[in-house]
Amino acid sequence: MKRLGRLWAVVLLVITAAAASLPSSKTLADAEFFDGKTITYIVATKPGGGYDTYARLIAKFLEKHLPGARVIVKNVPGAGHIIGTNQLYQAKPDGLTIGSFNTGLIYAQLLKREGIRFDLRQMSWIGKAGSDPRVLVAGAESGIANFQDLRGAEEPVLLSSSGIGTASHNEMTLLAHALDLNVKIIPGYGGNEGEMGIMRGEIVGMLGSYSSLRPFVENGFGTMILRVGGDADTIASIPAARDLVHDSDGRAIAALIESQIELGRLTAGPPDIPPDRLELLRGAYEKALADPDLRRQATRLGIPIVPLYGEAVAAKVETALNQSPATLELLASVMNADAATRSVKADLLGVAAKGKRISFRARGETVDSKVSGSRTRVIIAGQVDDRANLKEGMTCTIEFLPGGDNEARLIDCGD
Amino acid sequence: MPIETHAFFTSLGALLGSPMLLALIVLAIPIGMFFGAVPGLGGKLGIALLIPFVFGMEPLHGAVFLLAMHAVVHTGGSIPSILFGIPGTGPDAATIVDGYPMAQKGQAGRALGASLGASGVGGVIGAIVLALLLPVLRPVVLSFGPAEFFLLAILGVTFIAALSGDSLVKGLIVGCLGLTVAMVGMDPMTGVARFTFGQLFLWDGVDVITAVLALFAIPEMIALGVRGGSVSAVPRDLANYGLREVIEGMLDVGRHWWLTLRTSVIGALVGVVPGLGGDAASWLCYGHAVQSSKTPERFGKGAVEGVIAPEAANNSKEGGALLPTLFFGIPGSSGMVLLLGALITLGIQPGPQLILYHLDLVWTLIWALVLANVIAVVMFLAIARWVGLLTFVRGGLLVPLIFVFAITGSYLSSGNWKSLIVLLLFGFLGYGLKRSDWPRPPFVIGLVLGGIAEVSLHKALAIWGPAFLLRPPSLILLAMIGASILFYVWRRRSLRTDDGG
Amino acid sequence: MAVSGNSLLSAIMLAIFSAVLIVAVGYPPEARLMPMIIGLAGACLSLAQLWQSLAAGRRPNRPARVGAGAPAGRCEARLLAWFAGFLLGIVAFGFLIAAPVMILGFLVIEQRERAMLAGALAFGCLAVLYLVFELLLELSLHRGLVAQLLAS
Repeated sequence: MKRLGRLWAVVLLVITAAAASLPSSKTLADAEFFDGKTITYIVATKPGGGYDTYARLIAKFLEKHLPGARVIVKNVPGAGHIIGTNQLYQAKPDGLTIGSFNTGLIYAQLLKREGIRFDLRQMSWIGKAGSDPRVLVAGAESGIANFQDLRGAEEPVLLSSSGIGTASHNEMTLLAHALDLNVKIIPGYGGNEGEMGIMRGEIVGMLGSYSSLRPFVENGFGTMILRVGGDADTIASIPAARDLVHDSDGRAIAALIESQIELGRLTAGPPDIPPDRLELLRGAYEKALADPDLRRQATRLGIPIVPLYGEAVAAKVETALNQSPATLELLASVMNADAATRSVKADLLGVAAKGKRISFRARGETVDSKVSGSRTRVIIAGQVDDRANLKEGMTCTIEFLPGGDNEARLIDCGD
Repeated sequence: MPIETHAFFTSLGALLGSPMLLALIVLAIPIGMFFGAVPGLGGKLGIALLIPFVFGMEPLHGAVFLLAMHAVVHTGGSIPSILFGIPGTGPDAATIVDGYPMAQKGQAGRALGASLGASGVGGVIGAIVLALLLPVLRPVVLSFGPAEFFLLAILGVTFIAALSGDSLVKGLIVGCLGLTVAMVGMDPMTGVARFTFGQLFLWDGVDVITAVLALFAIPEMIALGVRGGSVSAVPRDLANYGLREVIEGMLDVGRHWWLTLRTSVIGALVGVVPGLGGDAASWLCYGHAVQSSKTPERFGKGAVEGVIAPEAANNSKEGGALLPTLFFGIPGSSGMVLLLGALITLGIQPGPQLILYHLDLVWTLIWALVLANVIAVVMFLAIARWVGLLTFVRGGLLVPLIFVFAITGSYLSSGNWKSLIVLLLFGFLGYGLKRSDWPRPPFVIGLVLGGIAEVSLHKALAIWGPAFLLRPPSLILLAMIGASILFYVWRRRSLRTDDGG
Repeated sequence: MAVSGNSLLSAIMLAIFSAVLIVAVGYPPEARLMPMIIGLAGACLSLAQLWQSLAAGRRPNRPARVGAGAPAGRCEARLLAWFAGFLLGIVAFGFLIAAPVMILGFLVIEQRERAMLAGALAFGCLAVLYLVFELLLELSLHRGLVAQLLAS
């Protein structure tokens, strides 16, 4: 009996030794981690849009390249991608939840938009699939044929943008400031309304993605007069914003917008996914995007694939979010939609109705401001004066409430 | 640009002669009606989900398939509206107001027939309008900007009066409530989140389907449960049920041919101009039907014109919306956004050159639209009789199923469970309104038109200043608004004198 | 009944519009324009209606209104409670669990249906929800807050 017991002990010992000497059982287990598991791919929009299309295509091929895994797409729309991204950020970081959302959320984070419960720096970046340069399109019958026309416009040029708070509006406003353009931005033109507005002639132009505006231009309704990004594309002949800015503020803005453009169609997971699982996801993502079958389907769907993976994406996001305090302040003041007063030093471009209305340039836009007889303090050459004595061409420091009639609180003119 | 009569006929021949295309249309129709009938799905989702299937097809086949599917969505959407008071899609909500009362009177078959006939005729007329407008497309589409949208929305708002039934004040209050709810959300003009109570899901506003379900479907179901019996208060043998009823409804469309024609044209025109929204067309036409009727007090209680008007408009607007989609490459409605993408995927490049180089394709699509609407009528006729029988099923069985149906619809449409809480609250409010006999349609008008009205107003002010009211198109619309109000006042006065008051 | 219903509704509306006005004042000028106009109009109209309803209530000789007013049969409060139950049940437990359960419950308790029929309908509903929405259309239905809580 004892000999049998000792025999068993030896056998067990040998087996254990053999097992321990096998190549790291840990990686073996993790490579199969996704086997039999279901990955939820959160898309921050309703079904049917561009992000949904990309995600569903990628999901199919992720499944293919992660043997045994199932990838299901879950639509979590609302609040301009914020709801879905919040949910993604707060999901359990076990590698079973990933998601896709609008790159424009970088602006939202920079501007500390309310409702945001995520920090893009902390996301576990898997990769990005697209890249879409922006173009500024002017209507064919607007009289603006190239950038010089726009720069040299005497009257403020009407440009449209999506609602305030959207990436489209952010970029339009930032660009107008960076290039020091004499424009008035009319928000509220979502979707294709900007194009309709241009065709109707009420709007001169709009800033949009190249892919969405290309048919419009090809149909002869407008011309592209400016681009941001897209160096390697067919539009390289159009002047680039980067080359047209003239100060460090402008350069910072142009760089920020360009970084946005490069990071199209992001896919990420919540922070702190175990590194080995993240590697598996990144690997599968890379294989998926490189898959010729996916490329074929993408071409047919009309969605270009311009991939970038893992750490490279993380680095770019980090760069985009690391803006200097000066730039952050610039962004905040340019984007300021609050009712706090804004102060500028500018020449009076026009004075109307005996000083009841004045117009001047502020942050790239022409502002029409109301001068109240009672609430506005007018100082000319150091003396408190009457608004009727304001003259075109005076250089003044103007403090006003943006929005509505931009009522001025203080007009202090040096001359 | 002369209409090429040659292409006109050859394309029809090509369509009828191709078994494949016909088969695709026949296949697409039940799919489209399904997406319309299930609340919360809608044509847009249908296109999104069908795009992968359409991939392998030839461009023309794929385009015809998607177009046919999308064309009959609202035909399907009228079914639950009439039978249960549940809107299949947003624009079908207007059909509930008179369609459901008809079902309650045992006339579901007739209502279905009228809806079917109106949808078919409306769709065909929409296609015809599309064809006729080809030469003058640009000026028509381009004459409607923010100023006109604002005034059109206000015109629609004046219809609230007409839809208020007996009490103007109650109608106006409910209308104001609708307008208020329309303002919930992130204001695009200022970036301020209004009335959202810190809830992110409200940034996009209150979901229209949820609101309509809450105000119409839920109260009706609760009332049904309380009342007992079936949807139709009239028992089956008395209701004279059968295919004859359905045909009767279709004949009604002919009896009211002038109304049908008018609302089809209005619907098509609303569809042609991108930006006004699909819901607006059916409500504007419903309001117009009430206003133009000699006996407006019948509406809301089962007047067949109340079914014909919105249903004709629903389908004709699809034809209209195709216009800017094909010729500007600018989608005429949200469903068209996806169709546009699909067309491009299929290799068809929308734009002015479509008329120059691919006129035959355009005509084929127009004919496909016509055929889809006509075939849908035939197909549906076959099952309409059985579908209508549901109104005679015991209410007790229906109520829980409809509850689930409605809750599902609200969830699918909004994409967020928190909308269900909105459904709950508005459901209670809707029942309260019903119990005290307050009119509910004005709420939907306010909700649907409020958003467009406000954004357009601010845009117009930003572009032209208050002077936008002096532009010629604006003056015309102002005159129409004035006429609408005066008409209402005159009508009320003459009714009062009829009563001897 | 109808009168107090009118008064109650008018009062609720008045409260809603007043709240709208109070909140809207805090918004910047462009954002508060429409809300204040509508809120003011609504409040005035509600006040007028409230006045009228209360005044009408004091007049004793009003002819009885036969309309959508008085319900017969099952108490409406029960049905409203069931509706709330359906909804909250789905919110808490998700469609696939709550819907069949509630249907079964309603049919058996309220309608005194045979368990077989009720069960069949409940199962049918579950089947439709799962097959059509989850599988065919690949639209995921709400799993329920409880499930979310348990998962985290």
